[in-house]
Amino acid sequence: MISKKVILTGSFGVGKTSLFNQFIYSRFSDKYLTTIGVKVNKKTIEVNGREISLLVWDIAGEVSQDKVPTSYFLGASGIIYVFDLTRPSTYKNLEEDINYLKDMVKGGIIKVVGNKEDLVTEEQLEEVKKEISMPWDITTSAKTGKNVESLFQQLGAELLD
Amino acid sequence: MFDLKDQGKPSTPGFSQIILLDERGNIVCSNDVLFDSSTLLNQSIFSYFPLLESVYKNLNILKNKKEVTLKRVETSFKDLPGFYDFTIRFTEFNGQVFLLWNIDDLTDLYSLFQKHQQSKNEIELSIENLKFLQDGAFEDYLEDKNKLLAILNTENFNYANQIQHALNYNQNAIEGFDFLITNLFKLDEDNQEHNALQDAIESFAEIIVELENLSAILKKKKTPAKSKNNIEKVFFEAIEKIESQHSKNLNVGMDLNIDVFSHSIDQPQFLTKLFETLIVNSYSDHFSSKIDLNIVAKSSKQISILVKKTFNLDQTNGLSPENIQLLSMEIYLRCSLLKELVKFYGGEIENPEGGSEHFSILINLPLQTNLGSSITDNS
Repeated sequence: MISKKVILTGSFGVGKTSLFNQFIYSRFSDKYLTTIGVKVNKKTIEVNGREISLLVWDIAGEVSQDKVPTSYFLGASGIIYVFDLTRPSTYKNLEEDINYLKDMVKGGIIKVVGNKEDLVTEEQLEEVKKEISMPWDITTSAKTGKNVESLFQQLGAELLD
Repeated sequence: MFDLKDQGKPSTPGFSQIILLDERGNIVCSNDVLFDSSTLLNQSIFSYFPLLESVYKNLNILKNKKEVTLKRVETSFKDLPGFYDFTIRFTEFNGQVFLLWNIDDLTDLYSLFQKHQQSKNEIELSIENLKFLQDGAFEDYLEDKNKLLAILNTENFNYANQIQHALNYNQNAIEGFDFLITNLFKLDEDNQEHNALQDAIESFAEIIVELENLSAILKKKKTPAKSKNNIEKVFFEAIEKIESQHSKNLNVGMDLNIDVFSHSIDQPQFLTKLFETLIVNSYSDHFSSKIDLNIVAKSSKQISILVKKTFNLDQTNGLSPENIQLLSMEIYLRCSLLKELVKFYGGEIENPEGGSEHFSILINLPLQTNLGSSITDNS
């Protein structure tokens, strides 16, 4: 079976661990607990009849991606860059961060995710779209689980291509 | 299976475990300091540690990098709760591929670090959320919070230093791997242990000779400032030598906080810490079970340290008679080192209980000092 390393990254408090827990364990907690290092777990999903094992790395949030230890990126095939739809500070450096990540994981798949959809209205979401210089791939809610499975399915499909 | 028992060493403040894995992720040997690896025998460790599988999948990259260090790892393995630094190194011997995996337990320090990081992040989040405040209220709030952040940043810096300090010790285990791998296949266990103990003995003997030389020099010197500098210099050199032994992964029971040397030698806290450390180091070998210290101020010029050691002789079972003898010599020499240092301070070792493992030390403080409440029961 194919297995691929995927990294969840982004600023602190954007919900990376919540997405990780929702995807791996199907659970969510409202309590915020800072991740200071790295947690890794594995989940096998089926994409178009093929199985792929995703080794997901949940790493400590950094305001700027160049502060993430480079050793974390070793052998990564996919990156999920998460920002918080309710906090402009978490997407103000989006383009810069994505360019940096592209350099770190050459040829890897990068998915940009706007999380905490449950906390914004349609109007607010439109405002965020205007503010952000580049489109993001998917809007999720780790709390309700909305689009979490879809996110990893999409990523898995692209990794299998 | 090879036996790595005694290759791991207690470090400051945590412990390290060394595990050798084959190319399928099966455990070849482990010193089992942190968890009992025997429960995982004949199983691939990758199923318990997906992180390792992830790293292993990139073995070719790792081959070029030689080693990868992953800091502050949280595992889902039930026998390893907490925060650890992993160092994973690729190695090859006789055409066979191995992964050397070093686990440094830094749970205590990283837990504190996490609390502070959490406070920092929560403050930053609250600042972001309260930007709508009017009439200067936000600026006032921001000023208060920034002051708090500055304090937390300083504390985090201190934690970072402590963590680095601990890692300097823990790094020894991984450095010891070269020695281990080179010798593992050609030396039997007794030879390894013999060499390690012999090396430690020679080192401690050197330190004692130096201290004795210094004693002689000091008697002729009358300038206190110069004497003080000499004492500090020799202490540094002695400690460096001990650390050097420690860095060779020789289990000499070190538990020294080098930060004590940043304080003046005249300070009672310095002396207390120094002797506390030296006593523990002198009387603690890797087979002993417990050292209790009770430090009290007898007067403004004198401190007393009551030392109790509880032996667990069962742990020496399995050692060859030659190595037991070497071990005894090592302990004897370390005790001699302690005695020399007590002599430096014009102190004396009392033995009111009549037993060599239960004694007290009286140390005269070098200058007029004001003993605070910090020197109390330290058992």
